[in-house]
Amino acid sequence: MASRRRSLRALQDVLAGEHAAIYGYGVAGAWLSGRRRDRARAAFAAHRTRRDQLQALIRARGAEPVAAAASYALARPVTSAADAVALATLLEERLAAVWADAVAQLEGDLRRLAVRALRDAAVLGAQWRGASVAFPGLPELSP
Amino acid sequence: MSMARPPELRRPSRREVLIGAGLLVASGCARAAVDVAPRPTADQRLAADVAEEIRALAARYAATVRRHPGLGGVLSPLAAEHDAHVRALVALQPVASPSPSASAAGSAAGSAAASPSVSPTAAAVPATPAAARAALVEAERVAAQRRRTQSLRAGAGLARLLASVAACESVHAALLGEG
Repeated sequence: MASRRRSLRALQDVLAGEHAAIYGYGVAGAWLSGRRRDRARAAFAAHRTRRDQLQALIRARGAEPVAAAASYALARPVTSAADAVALATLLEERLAAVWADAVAQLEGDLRRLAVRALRDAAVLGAQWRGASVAFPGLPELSP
Repeated sequence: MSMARPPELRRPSRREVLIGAGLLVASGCARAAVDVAPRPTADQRLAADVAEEIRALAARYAATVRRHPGLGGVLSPLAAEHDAHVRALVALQPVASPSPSASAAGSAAGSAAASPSVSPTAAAVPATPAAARAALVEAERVAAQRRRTQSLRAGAGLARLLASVAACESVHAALLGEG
């Protein structure tokens, strides 16, 4: 029972993170062009797919998925392509952390899902950043 | 001369004596642990195995840079991340065992670079830089897949760490594959 509640809580947490990322990409995408706009669009679509998947998993457990907020406070205003890239990087870093925590809370197939989602966030984050970090999603081990 | 008695000369309270006795017992345990390694948990054994695999991957990087020094700029930052992974995993080992493995981890990169004989994979580095790079992409993909599988059978905390290491290895494959 406790583990069931814990799983549900973890799924709701990552769903809230995906909602925020979708909102953020909506903001960032408007400032990007060319290859970076394509990348933002692909990421936006991937996060929506993940959101839909999470909503289905939560409903299958008899719970109501958390809703997206009407708007989200951005860490800082986005008024250029460079700001948009910084925001996209930050979105993926935060999402990686939320998914990493979910890995610890989930088991079996749900953990497998979280491990893959962490990988996807790390790869997108590195593409926006243009560099790797040693421990994606683990702020306590990051410089 | 009515000086107060210096605090260090007062008699210890019963509580302090008890705590002291506890410390003696604790340090006795610690000493015993040096002589007889405590039985590692399943997670500690898994972490040790993973550290060994990552050392082998790091050795491939070192061998590749020796054969193709021009790749050093691209590969060195990634190799440093492998070293960080090994350190994080070694830190999970029981008290007695880190000394040999920790020193091995610390010197792995250096000794591999210093003495080619310690790296069995040196001969396996492809002849062109492009092929050598592609071989590392494949090695990182395989490593990430193994790490993901390993994270599924680990306890919560180790699973989180292994999932992050897996993600980093996937990033390495993606970054090396792009260039």
